[in-house]
Amino acid sequence: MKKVLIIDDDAGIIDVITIILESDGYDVRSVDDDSKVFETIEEFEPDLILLDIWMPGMGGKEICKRIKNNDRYRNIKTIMVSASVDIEKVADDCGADGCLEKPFEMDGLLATVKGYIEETR
Amino acid sequence: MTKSLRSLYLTVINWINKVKFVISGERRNYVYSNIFPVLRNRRTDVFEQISAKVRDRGVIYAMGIGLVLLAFLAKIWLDPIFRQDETVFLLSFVAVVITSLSGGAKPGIFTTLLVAIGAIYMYFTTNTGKNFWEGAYLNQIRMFTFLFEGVFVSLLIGRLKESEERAVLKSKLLINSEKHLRNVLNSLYAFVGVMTINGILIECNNAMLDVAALDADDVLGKPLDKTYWWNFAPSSKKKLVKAIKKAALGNLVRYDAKMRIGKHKYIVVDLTIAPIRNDEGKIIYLIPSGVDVTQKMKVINDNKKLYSELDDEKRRLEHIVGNTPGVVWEVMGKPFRKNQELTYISDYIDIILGCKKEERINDKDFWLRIIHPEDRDRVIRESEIIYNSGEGGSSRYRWVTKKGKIIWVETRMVLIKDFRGTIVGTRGVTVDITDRISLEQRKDEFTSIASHELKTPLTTIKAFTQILEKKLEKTGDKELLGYIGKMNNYIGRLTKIIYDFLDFSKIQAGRLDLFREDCDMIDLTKEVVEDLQSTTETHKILLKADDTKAISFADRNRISQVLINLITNAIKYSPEADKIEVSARREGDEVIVWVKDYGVGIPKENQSKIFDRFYRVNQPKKIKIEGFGLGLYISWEIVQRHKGRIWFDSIEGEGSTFYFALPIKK
Repeated sequence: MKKVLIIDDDAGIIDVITIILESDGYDVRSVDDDSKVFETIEEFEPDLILLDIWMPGMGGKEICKRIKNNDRYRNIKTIMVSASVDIEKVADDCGADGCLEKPFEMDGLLATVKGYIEETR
Repeated sequence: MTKSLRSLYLTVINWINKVKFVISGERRNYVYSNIFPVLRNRRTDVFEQISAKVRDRGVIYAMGIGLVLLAFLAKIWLDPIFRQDETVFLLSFVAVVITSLSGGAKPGIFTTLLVAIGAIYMYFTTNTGKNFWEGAYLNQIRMFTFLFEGVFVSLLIGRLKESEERAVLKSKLLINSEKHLRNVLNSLYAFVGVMTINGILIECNNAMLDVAALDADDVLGKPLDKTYWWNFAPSSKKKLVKAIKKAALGNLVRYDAKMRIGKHKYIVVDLTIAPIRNDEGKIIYLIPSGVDVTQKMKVINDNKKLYSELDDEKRRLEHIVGNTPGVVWEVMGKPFRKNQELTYISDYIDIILGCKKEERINDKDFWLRIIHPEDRDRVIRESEIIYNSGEGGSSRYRWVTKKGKIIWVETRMVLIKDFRGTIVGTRGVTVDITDRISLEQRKDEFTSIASHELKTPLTTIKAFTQILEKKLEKTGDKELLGYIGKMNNYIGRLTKIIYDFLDFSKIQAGRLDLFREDCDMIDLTKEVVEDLQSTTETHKILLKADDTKAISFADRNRISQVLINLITNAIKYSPEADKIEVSARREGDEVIVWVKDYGVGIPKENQSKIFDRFYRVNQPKKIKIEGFGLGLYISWEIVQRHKGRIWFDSIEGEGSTFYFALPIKK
C-alpha cells in the first residue's frame, strides 16, 4: 500500500483528501504542525507528500526545500498544493515534483497522486 | 587810399583789441571774429589778395609822386613869402613819412629819391640858375642829409609797418582757426567745455548748451558745480567739486555723472575732466567733456536686472528641482559607457543616498556603483535597450545608500536628440519607490492570502460534495443526487465569482501576470468550444475555424478565460436561442476570434459602458444576471495586455457579436 503524507494546517482539507485517497486504497497520514513534519516523515516514510504552501511557521516552500536537500528524503515525491495562480513557478523554485491548484476536483487529485506514485515504481 | 586808411584803422583796432584781450583775458569775441568773413574758397582768397596788393602798391606810389609834387608846388607857392631852400626838404620829408607810413619802406625810399631828383634837376637848376654841383656847398650837404634821413625814416617806418602787418595777419589766422575749432566743437555730439583751474566755466560747446536748452550767458562765468546741469543735488555737486579739485592737481578724472537737462529730467554722462598745461607745464585750463551714456547705462542696468532675474530664476528652478522628491539628471552619450558624461544631476540624490556632493563629483563610476550589485547587469542591459529603442522608457532597480540601506528606485527616461535626430543622450528622473514596492508586495500578499482563504474552504466543500455524489451514485438516491447537482452548480458559480474577484484585485494592483508562450489560437478555440459544449444542453456551439495555424505569443489560460467568458455570456444573454456561432481565423497579422449570439443585444445607450468594471447590461426581467459584472472588464484587460483589440457589434433584440484580435507571432 502506497503511503501519502498530507502536510496542511486546514483540518477540512486534511479530512477531505484523507477520505478521497483512503477510498482509493492509499495509506494516508497527516500533520498540521511544522515542528512535527520531519519526525512524521522519519517515522511514516511516505512515498508522496501533499504539501500546502501556506503552512504556518516555516511555510511549505521551506519544508519542501529541506526535504529536497536531504539525501534520505530526496526521492519522496513532493506535490505543492496552493490557491496561488503562480503555483507552478513556486513549485519549480523550491524543487517540488509537482503541484495541485485549489480548488481541485476529486478526480484531478486522484489522477495527480496516481501519476506521481507510479513514477516511483 | 581808403584801403590804406582802413588798414590804418584796423591796425589801431587790432591793438585796442589786444589790450582788451589782455585785460578781460578769457572770453573770445564773436563780433571781432565776424569782421573778417571767412573766405569760403581758397582760390578766390589768393586772387583777391594779389589784386588787392597790386592795387594798394599803385595807389601808394601815385600818392608818393603826388605828395612830392604838392611839396614842390608848396615850395614854389611859399617862395615869395618865405624864401628858404630847406623848405622843400621839410615839405618833402612829410611826403616821405606819409608814403612810408602808408606803403612801407619801398614807397618811402622811392619818394625820397623822387624828391632828390626833382630837387636837383627842377629846383636847384631851374630856380637858382646854377648847377646843383656848382651851387652852394650847403645845399649839397642838405641834399645828402635829406637823402640819408629819407631812406632811414622809410626803412624804419617800413620795418615797423611790416611787423604790424604780420601781427594783423597772425591775428586773422588765429581768429580763423578759432572759428574752425569752434565749428568742430559745436558739431560734436559730446559735451565739451573749458574751465579755469578753479572750476569756472569759461567756454562750452552747443551740444552742452542745447541738451538743457541753455544760453551761454546762463552758464559761462559760473563754477561748473553751480550751473543748471549740476546744481540739483548736494551729492552730485560734491562729487563734481571733488573731481575738479583732483583734475586741477593734474589728474585725469573720469566718472559717470548724473546731469540735469530739464525739470525732473536727468541723463548720465561719462564725464572726463582733463587738465591742460602751458609750455611751462603749468595747468592753465581744465577741459570737462562728456558723452550721454544714459541709454547705455539703461541697457547695462536692464541687463544687470535681467541677469539677476535670470539668476534668481535659475536658483529658484534649481531649488525646486533640488527639492523635488526625485533625482533629475541628464547624461550625454550611451549609458554606462566610458565616454558618457553626467551633465546634470539634481541635489536630491544626496538626500536619497545620504552622501555629499564632493564625494560623487569626481567619482566616474558613481552612477554604476550605487546600483545594487545584483541589479547592475540588468540595469545596463535595460538602459541599452531603452537607448536603442529610440523612444525612452523606464526601469526599476535597487540603489544602495551610503549607510548600506537598500532602496527601490524607478527611473523614467527620455532620449535627447540632436538637430539631425541622432540620439546623443538621455534625460530622466529617478524616484524612490521603496514604499510603493512594499505596498505592492503587501497587495500581492493580500491577493495570495485572499486566494488561499477563499479557495481552501471552497476546495473542501467541492471535494466533500463530490465524495457525497460518488457515494449516492452507488446507492442510487436520485432525490439526494439532485440536491448535490444543485450544490455543484452553486459551487461553480462561487468559484467563478472568487476567480473574477481575484483577477480584478490583480488588475487593480497592476499585477495581472501573464505566462506567455506560443499557442495556436485556432486549436485553443476548438478546445474551449469542445469543453463548453459539454456543459450546455440548451445551445449548440457552432465553430467556423480555419485548418491553418495562427500562432500568438499568449497566456493560454488567460485567453481561454476570455473566450469562455464571451461564450458563456452569449449563452446567458440568448435564453431563447439555440445556437452560438464561434469563429477563429487569421487575417493579416492578426488572428480574429468572434462569438455571435442571437439574443437580447445591448441597447445603444449602454454600448459605451460595456467594458467598464461592475457594469451589467440592464436586461428584461426574464434574464437572471449572475456575477459581479467583471467578466468583460477582465477580458478587456487581458486582451489589452496582449497588445490585442476587443470590440463588439450589437443590435438590441437581434443579438451581439463580440470580437477579439491578437497579433500573430512573426
